[in-house]
Amino acid sequence: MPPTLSTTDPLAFAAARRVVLCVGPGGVGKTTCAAALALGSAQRGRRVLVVTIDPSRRLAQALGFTSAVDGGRPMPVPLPGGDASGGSLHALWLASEHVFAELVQAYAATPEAAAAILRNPIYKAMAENLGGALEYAAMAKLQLLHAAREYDLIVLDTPPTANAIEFLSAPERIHELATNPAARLLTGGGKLGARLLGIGNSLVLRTLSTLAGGSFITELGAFLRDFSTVLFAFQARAGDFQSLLTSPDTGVVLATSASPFSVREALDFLAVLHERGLRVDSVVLNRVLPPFPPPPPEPVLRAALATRLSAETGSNPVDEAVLADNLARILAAYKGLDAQGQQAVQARAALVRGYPRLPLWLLPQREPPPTSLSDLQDLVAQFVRAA
Amino acid sequence: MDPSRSPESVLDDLAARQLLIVSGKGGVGRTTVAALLGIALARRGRRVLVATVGPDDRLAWMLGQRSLSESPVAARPGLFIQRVVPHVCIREYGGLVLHSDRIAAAVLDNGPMRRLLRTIPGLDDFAILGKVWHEAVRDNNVDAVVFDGPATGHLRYCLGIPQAILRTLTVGPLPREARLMQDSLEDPRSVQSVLVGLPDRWPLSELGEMAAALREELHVGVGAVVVNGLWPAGLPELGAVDPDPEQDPDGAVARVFAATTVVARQARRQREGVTAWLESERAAGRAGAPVLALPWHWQGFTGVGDLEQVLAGLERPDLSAR
Repeated sequence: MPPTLSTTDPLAFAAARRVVLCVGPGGVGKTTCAAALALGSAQRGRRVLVVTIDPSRRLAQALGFTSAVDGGRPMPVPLPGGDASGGSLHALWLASEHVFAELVQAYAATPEAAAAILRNPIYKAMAENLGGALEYAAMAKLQLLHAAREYDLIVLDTPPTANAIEFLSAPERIHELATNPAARLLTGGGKLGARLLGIGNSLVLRTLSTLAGGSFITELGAFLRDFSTVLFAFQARAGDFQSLLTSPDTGVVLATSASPFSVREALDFLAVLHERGLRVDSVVLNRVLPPFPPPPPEPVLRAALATRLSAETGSNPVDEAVLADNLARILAAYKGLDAQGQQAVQARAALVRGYPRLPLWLLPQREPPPTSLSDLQDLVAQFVRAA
Repeated sequence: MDPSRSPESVLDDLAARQLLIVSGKGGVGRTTVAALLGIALARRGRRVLVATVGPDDRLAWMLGQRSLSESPVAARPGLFIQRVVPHVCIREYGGLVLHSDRIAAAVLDNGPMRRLLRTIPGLDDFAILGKVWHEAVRDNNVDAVVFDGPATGHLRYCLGIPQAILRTLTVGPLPREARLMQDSLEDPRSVQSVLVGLPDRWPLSELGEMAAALREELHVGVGAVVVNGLWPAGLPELGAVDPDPEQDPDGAVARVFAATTVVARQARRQREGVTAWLESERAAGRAGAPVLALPWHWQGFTGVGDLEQVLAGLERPDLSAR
């Protein structure tokens, strides 16, 4: 079933998807969009899981988390207005150490091998302390969840842009671990590895030992061998991540703010998504202000302000300096708002120019930002189709 | 948190360090603050490098340059900017340790080897942290480095790497380097973090907790918390008015009044949020880091002039309603 092309319903496309990735630059409201999409879809009768990474405190609270410690398993989120639709919402706060432990326990050759990996200090450092692991974990978890078929729809909030590209290339990196000749050199397949590298075996090992220490290189080699066995077993079982990403089951929502930097980042990211064969279902231009018409002639505004201030302060006439000061501040603020509105107009034009056939939705700026489940529910009604 | 110090004295203090690590959640203006610190330090006569890991060239655009390069470029006298790329850092480090750029390049630029290095989690972060630390502390090319660093979600991982190495390994060159880095990170005269947040109560609370965690777990000092994007204070809240059919037939005055009220209320809400946060910090006994407030700059940043304007408007958080 192709996605429904609705010009009035921002959630219609998701009915045809089993996985939706929410991507975009940092700080544009990705997590909020992901949560609103998940909630709306649950209220339409689907069993939905939203997977978030580093949610803001208030959103986490709205979803029922108190800390990332809960992050090992999906938490049920009560739907506002009840579950008469038959749908349900769960939320999962992704923590890489939980995912890795799950993988190792499920896919190591033997329980002893699993215990050995989990004890390995390099593994511990990687799963608990080091960056880059989150992208692997998000990818693996998505595959496990998708395969388990416990949910009709999984909405994944991805890390900000630079890391989202890392996220998309995570499967290539895992593949690399198992096939890379340099890795084979470290893991003991010395001669063959060196021949494939085209440089001397001893030169490579000597260089790496000087850089990082001989015993570390040996340990790293052992770790890579054991861990890549796990990842390979997992991959063989779970199938190709790339084909999940490019499957018709999977759609992408890209969120951006109207700031020129964010829009540039969003356009670059759209290019990467298309290049990699992902289906972008919609673009959300978030926190949009309307452009403002020019202010009235200054004397008109001054007179109106004088009347208003004198009514407020009881002094008639209003002190000239106070009036001038207020007038200047008011005009500056109005100009500032208008500049924001103009930015949104330009952002919209740039997105339409770059991707004329992509559905574009505007979401007006809300102050204060949505934080509760009912705020998120209201959000769905505020989307405006712009292209 | 201590909002009582003058911005000038806070900047003087920061300017005395070797490495400033700028962090904050995505989209809060880390790069803007890093560029501002670069200008502020250069003005104080320091030769300063602003190093970024950002995915695009916005640091260059803000400083009126076209693009970033993988080596330092002077953006103005005494102020250099650079993109730090993990692979380049690893190769440079290799050249340094092996005393041969040629051997380092032969081994580390080798295609499969490059791809293998990319698969080792944490190596990229360690390489970048090592690079900025080297430029800031060990080398003499510049007096100070401002590191436009990772988002807070990633900061603890990143700054925790030397400790992770020290826990994992006991012998060899890696723990030796990690020890030196960790000693610098823990020395507040040498390294300080600068945390950036938007003027909103709960995000600032998270930032306050991050500051506490940096101090307690990673022993990294917090030189300042920067509250970015305060809307202008001192606007009258005029409230809604019905257009006066004679004086204001097309409703233009009413529109300006309404817009002014939106900005005034938001500005008030922001200041209330910052005040509530500062009070809760005090109540939690977390006094300490100075707080700076940056005004909302609706024009965006397209050159040094914009940044200088903001720097001039840098304030102690003025939390009075007017």
